[in-house]
Amino acid sequence: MADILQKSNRFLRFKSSKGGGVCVVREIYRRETVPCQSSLCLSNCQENTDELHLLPKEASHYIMPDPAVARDYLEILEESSITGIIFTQTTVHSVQHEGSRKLLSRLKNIVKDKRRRSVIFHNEFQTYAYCEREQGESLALWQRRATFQSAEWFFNHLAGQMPIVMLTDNQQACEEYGKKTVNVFVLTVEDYLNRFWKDIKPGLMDLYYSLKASVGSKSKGKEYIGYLSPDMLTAGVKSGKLIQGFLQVNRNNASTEAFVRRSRQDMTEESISDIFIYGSAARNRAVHGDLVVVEILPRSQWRGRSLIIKEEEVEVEDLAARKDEGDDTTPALPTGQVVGIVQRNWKEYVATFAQNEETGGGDKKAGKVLVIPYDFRIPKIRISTCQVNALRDHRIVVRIDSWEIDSQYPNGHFVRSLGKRGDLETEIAAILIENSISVNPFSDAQMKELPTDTPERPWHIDDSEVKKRRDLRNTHLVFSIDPKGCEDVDDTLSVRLLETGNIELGVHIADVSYYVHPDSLTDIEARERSTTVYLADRRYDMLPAILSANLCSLVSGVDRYAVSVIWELSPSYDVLAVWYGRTIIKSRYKLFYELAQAISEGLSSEEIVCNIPELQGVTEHELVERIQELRTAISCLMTIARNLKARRVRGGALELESVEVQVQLSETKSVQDLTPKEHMEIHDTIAECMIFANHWVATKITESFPNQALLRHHPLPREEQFSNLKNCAATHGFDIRTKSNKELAESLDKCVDPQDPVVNKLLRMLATQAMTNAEYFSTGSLSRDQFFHYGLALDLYTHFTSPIRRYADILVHRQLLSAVGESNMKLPSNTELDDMSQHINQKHRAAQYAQRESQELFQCLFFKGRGGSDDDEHCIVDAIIYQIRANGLFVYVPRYGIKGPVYLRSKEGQVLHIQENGSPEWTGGEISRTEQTITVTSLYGQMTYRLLDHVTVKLSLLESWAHSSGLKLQLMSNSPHKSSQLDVKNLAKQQKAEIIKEVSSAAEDKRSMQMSHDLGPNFPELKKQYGQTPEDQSLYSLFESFRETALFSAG
Amino acid sequence: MAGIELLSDQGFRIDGRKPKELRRIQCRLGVFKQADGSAYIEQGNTKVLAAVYGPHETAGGRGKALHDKVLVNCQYSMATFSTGERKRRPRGDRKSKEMTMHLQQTFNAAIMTSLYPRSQIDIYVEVLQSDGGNYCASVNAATLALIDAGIPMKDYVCACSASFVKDCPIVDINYLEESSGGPELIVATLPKSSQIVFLEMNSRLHEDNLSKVLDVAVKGTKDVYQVLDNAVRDHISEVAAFHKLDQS
Repeated sequence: MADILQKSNRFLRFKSSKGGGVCVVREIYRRETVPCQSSLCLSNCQENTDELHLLPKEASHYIMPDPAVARDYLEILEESSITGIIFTQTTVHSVQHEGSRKLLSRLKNIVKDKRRRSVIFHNEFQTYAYCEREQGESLALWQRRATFQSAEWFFNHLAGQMPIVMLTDNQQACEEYGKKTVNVFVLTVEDYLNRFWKDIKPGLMDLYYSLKASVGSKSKGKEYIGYLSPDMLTAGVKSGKLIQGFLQVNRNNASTEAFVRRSRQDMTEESISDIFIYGSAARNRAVHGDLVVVEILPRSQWRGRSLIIKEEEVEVEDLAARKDEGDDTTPALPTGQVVGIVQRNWKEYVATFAQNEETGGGDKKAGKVLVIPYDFRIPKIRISTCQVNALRDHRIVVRIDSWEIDSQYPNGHFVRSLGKRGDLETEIAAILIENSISVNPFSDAQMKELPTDTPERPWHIDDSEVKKRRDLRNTHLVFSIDPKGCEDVDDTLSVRLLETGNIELGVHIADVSYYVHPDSLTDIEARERSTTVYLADRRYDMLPAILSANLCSLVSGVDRYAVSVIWELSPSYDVLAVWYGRTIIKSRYKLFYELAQAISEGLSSEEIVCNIPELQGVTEHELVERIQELRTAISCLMTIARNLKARRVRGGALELESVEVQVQLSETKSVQDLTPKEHMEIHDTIAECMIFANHWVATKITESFPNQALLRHHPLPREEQFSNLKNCAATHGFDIRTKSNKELAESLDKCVDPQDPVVNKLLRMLATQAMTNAEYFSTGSLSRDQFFHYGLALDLYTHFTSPIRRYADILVHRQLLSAVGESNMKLPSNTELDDMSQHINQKHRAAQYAQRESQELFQCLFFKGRGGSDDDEHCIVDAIIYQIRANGLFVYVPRYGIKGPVYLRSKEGQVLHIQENGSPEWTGGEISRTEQTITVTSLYGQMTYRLLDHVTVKLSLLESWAHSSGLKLQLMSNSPHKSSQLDVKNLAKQQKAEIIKEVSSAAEDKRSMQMSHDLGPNFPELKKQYGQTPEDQSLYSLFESFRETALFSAG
Repeated sequence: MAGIELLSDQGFRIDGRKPKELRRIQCRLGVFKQADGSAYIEQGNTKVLAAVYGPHETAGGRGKALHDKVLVNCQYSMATFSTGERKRRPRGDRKSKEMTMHLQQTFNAAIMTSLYPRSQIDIYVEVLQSDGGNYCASVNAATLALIDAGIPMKDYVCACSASFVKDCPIVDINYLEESSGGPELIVATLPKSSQIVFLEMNSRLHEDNLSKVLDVAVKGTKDVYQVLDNAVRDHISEVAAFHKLDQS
């Protein structure tokens, strides 16, 4: 295409580094064909812009905001139902230079989002859409003129097919340009919203007024006085004098304690890891999550963190009350103060009005009100609203706009209300928003992309696909093992003996990438969500139900597409050959864990038949054969898994502990009971096969794409995190070595107290807490020696086996398929992949938080109304001490998997004494503390608590107005709970199973067996039944729990 | 410069060019009377003046003279007013010395040096305005000046730079793109035979991408060649017409 370019110069004035002005000339080339990116375009000006989306054909008008609107009212444009926005290049530049980087990235996000169908138009490169700034013309005036010129050009370019609305906040401009061209409207934002959106989205109007009020009150430029200039910050960080990192506020002591964690690239230097920020003056208006630069204070001003457990909702403004805390702190930590903010990470916050907020007699004027955020770590926010009375007991969403230097609290604005506080739906919505999880229903356009499977138009296998794929339908016995009632089956297994005596093991994973094409709407939505979010009572799928519960789900008896990894193993379980590729499978059985375990242990045929619907109606003779076949397959699988695991354990794999609690809901959604999930060997078998598949896929894609493979790594834990664990173990005379994962695993294995099986569990849990998080990364962005997975003791690892639930797996599928040459999709480059993996990591963490918070919410619901009576067996439970603080203990309740503080000294300074008859009483007294014990001395006598001691606590609900409700733990007795004997016995059962080493595993692994002395009354029976090692907890869920580590704040 | 987007999603560079478009080139030959050959070139806002003297006897004694070929002597300098900030640049500063060396290497490879043993050719290059691609503009200007001086060369020498942004090679980079810290590849070729006479690279570029960037840069030199060749032909026909007038 012959394009005539015109060259012109543009004169810019900059400030030079020395302070003087510099005049710079930049050339600019203009042309006549700049892609307009409208699907209505008649002149065919979109060249090679296939990957860019187009402005919609069916919209009633296009919107073109002028720079001032884009800067101040971007949030309105972020509303997802407004589509067809054209941002001119002038606007983008203005947002970049006069706004902030954060604002620019928000704008870019609108444009990137295909659903919004909005574009950036390069008006300054278009010969006719551009106008030169005239001598003496003010910047704002010129920007408006340029925007209007572009609007006019656009209108004419599309030959008048589409009216253009230019948004401005300047009344004069409306009058000046409004009548110039028919169908190019110039409106103020208010006018526009009134005319077009008032009826559809009334909330937008509120948002507009709220924004307008905050625009008016914004005194520009003042916010950053008091911070060092960006130049000085960059220089300081480079020279190592200042440290850059993310601010993390301590959840348990939000008003005074915060840490700055170094960002990833600075992590090499181990000397100072976290910088302690004490008090709000040193925090200097930074909010949790901001990227800040800190200066380290001289050593004389360093201080330790408080060891007092803060009771929630206590205002810590009266410093006098805490004068005695000098001796209740840890040794001094490197302490610093914030001297600059690189990036604000403000998002939407859920907040509530204070309970007793007064509003001058209900007048309708917008007044300033302080709201309390749901998250403890966020300071109170001042917003202006006239709806205080109406929203008094609602949870609302607010945003922070600015934080003036002379203001104690940040300014923000009201966005919307979530509903009355205390309602289940409101609370769940609050959890989702706090974790930035969006759960909008899937759009119609997206559903149209997907195949259908209705009774009228059933879905069936494509013949052309059958030819391309390896057909395993008749040759292999494929089956799946999942939790009972599982809908999204994404993994199946097969195993058979080859004639050569070798074993063929196959893992078949749903072929999601066949349905989800890169950059389709489904793909974009799935990437945005990154993972299916499981809450205690519901889940939010990553993929629409047609895929997740139907076409991708490998249910039994139907043909399904799969991606398979098939190994040939020698009789000693060495891998001889691997095959990767697309297959067609027909799963024979859909089993659940309990059943599979029972089959392997010799469940009778009759019972098998009534539990497997697939076997019903089969003739007697065939039945025997088929059951035998299945039984062999399962036990063969278990043997393989045992061997694989033993190998990994020899390499130093860790077994860690976490208790998952299942919420049992009644039909009316009230909580019936909380039960810990049970564990069996078959869980390990499945997990091990998945780990094996993941590892081999990781090997393959790393080999094919050394610079852009998506892997998952688990970095080394930090040594100082282990101190509490070592302390606890020392009380029982155990020694924990943390040099390597192998040493840690071995020393953890030795920490077995025959009298008390909980000890080992607890120690493993503390070890889990000390771990860093496993994360996704792109191989190009880290050096080779950082690829390893610490917990699993593998050099390469990725996620491949759950593409229905995790987006990372879909990416890995695409990479694997290109690696074996079955697809020629364009793979994301290293930088794209790196961005994506960061996003996925963040979303996964958010999903974890949300899941945990929802479980806590249900815990609270469970204890609501139960706390009253002292004899409720649900509320009086056994607990074990795992950390000692200045005024209390942290205990762990094995029954519910709850951790929480127990106070030994009340706010009034009284201490708790347990009387002879076992009832607690608050009296005057003292508390003294050593590393491992805490002693309460009162009028009645002395009482000492040691780490890992058992105590009895009472659980009750701690209602909170503005925050999530929590549980209160009260000490009832310093001896183990009576009925806990029963619990201990139950646990002992699991523990025993863990201890007995199974034969083939022992052959692999020569470590000495550790037998417990207390084997319990029914041990021989058990041994006969099991005869092998069901490990205590599902490995898979345990490794998942690595990620949870971040959930525990440092306190 | 972190915030600047060097290549937009629609495929525009900051100055409105597409990735594979050169800046506008304008040039003139024979701008000085007293030099044997001279030329002036503008590549975008980079403006360079070149003058050629010789071949003549080696200056400063016989010692320097080479017995089998001509001595190519280059001198590169930048005017004090050529950059955004006014700065005195003495002739001997490190940067210009390096550039001088590079020019010398380039033209040693292109001039048919064996035709004039024991003599010397001087090439003087002065950058009047610098906006990225100083070396390229200098080479192109010097080529034109050599042609103007009638010195036999194997071919034109054309130079072009290229960089790599967002997985896309971009050609003929300007100052802003140059100073953003990305890779910079500079190549000088003999366009007809596609022989590379000079190649330099700054900053880091992945090996896999090298050939892509190099291809684009070589293509750039061919485009430059077209422009230069046209300019030379125009100049010749102009001069020829003038001579005809003179004779008649």
